[in-house]
Amino acid sequence: MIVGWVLLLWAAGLLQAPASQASTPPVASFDVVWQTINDTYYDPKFGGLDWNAVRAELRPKAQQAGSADEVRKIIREMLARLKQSHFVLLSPSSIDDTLPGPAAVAIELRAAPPDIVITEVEPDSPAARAGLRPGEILTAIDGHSASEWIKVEYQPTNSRARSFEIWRRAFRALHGAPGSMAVLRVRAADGREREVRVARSDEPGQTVTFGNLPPLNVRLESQELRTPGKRRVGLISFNVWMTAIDVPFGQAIDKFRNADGLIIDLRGNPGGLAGMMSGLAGHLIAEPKTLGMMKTRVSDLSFVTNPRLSTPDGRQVQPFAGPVAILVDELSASATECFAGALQSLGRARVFGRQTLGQALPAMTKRLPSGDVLMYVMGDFVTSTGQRLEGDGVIPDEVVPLSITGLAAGHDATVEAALRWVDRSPLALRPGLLLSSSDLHVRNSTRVRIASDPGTSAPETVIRLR
Amino acid sequence: MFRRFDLRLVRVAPAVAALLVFAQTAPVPAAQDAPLPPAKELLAKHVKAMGGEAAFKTVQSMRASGRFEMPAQQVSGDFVMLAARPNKQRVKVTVGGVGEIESGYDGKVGWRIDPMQGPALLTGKELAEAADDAWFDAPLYGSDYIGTATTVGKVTFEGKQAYKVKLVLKSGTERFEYFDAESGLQIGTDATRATPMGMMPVVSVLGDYRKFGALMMPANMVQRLMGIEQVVNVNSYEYGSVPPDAFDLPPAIKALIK
Repeated sequence: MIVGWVLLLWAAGLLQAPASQASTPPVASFDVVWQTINDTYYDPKFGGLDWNAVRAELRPKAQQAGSADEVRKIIREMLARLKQSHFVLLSPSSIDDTLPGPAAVAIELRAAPPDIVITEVEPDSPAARAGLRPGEILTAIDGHSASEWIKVEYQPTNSRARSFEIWRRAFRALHGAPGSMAVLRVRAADGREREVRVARSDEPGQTVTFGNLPPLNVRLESQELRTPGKRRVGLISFNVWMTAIDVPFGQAIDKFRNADGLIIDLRGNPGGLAGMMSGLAGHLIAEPKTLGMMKTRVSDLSFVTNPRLSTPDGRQVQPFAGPVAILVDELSASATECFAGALQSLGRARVFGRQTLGQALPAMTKRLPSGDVLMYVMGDFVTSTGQRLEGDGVIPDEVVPLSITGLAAGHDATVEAALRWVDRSPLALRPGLLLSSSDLHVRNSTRVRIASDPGTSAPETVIRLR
Repeated sequence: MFRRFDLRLVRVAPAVAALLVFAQTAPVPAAQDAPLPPAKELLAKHVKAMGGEAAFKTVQSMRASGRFEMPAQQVSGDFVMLAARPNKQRVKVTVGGVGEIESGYDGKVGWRIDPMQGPALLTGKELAEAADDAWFDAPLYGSDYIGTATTVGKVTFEGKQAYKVKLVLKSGTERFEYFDAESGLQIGTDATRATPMGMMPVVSVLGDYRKFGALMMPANMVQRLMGIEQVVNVNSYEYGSVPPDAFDLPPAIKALIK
């Protein structure tokens, strides 16, 4: 597969940075960055930016810079002029952009200005044992008040970008050395504040190292849920688009192949390998369908689904045919946005949650002479209906606002909305399907034979498809 | 066959958008002070430089192995390529952080398995190219493989004087190949290849020819596409050691054949 290793991953700046190594003149990296973008940026007009003028202005500054860090600042300024996502300089000297350690307090946060909310606590983690709960408001970490993070100095382009910036700062503060203690101040729903000491723990999952990227912890979880109407639904969530999820995703699909619905939870998923979209979508679509196009300087390349009609052990199977819900939020980005937006455009999935980040440009990485790593955009992504996702992201079919009170009461409003939708969705007919009497809206033209089954008690009736 | 291994990587190995490298490697027309030699002569010279048709015909199967790298991206892994007469091939690249990416052609069925897209049967242009790639005697440029061959110029390719030959294969596939004006060996290919994402221009550079057994084979292959450079360094070519069942279809592919 050709462009599979293109990255659709925004969070590189929040990963642990690569070790810097070389001792070449710092301006050499400036030159490589400028040239790479000059030669590969998908828009030869650079969106109206005079790219040669940018070099003429900034290169002398890079030449006169007194340190490698100063050159990095100039490179970042050059990248910022493009006003696009996925232009990132990964460097160990970027104190603000990289994480202070590989371990973290095992909670999920979301910014809901003026609050930073705990949305999830890892079960059986030190955070759970310390009594942290979803719906609690984080007010400080290690003496740093959340109000510091909420004061974003620059003016982000939109409220999602602002929320992201706030979240990024809080997320960084959660990290540190494995076993180090974090002191959190949290406010419960009843308004009482308390201090919680929590040990930072290693991130769960399989550690994957791919190319220039720092190690990523990849994990996929699946569970069976029931709708209010007792329909069976599979819930699959994964945290990053790396190949380590391919097998467990296939196994989860196998487990839920005959379920009444499928929920794919991609909230907080920052993307990953672009090529994975075609493979995963193939578990949901039986025919080759174009998910979208990557427009590059050289050509337009299609992401086409690869229907997954066999298993690794050689069984013939059919892709999941029932209703599919995709859950997203303001931290869903890149490949996640492209996947959700593509399936939404095709009418194959219904998207629930909150508008995504809007950082959806295919990118590659390159090691620079300084040892830093450049992530650079090499294409633009549009869905099969021509929708560009950079900027606006994916707007859910059903918007589910973040509910602090709901979280505190133990509800996941987005999952619940998806389950209710599965209840309202037509069932995918298949042999062995169990229907309750409320499901029976059989039209005269529908040829199904309803047989009584002595082994099944009311109110369910077995429909045998012929 | 094995010379086409570099092209075959297009299918099994990843890469992306190009121009930077294309701009750097675009062949430059050389001053032409003599009539161009006919393509037939150039192809024959290559076969002779490689070790000759007779030596090549004694080889029934081949196993090449070595390392695969994308230096700028710091991606690397091991590769193994198997080939056997008359038209079977299988390539596996094992890449750190990704897993095994495989493709093959068993004389009839072309296929690909990778951990991003899953198993797939090749169809259309991709299948036709897989069949071309698998033709064991391809390096001999016989009439069973080549439709027409035309010398189109003398150029500078990768800093070397080279003859540029346009090949139209029996299958209809077209490409340009470059032959070192001095040694006669093929040193590159310029083609547009079918991929699951559409047609993609690819430049391949062959170098570091060494004697492996009775044959001169390239130990270094560089492929440039979409601005990305892929490098293959071959450690060994073994002849006659590939068992016939090495080309059996994997279970996930067998299950796709209805």
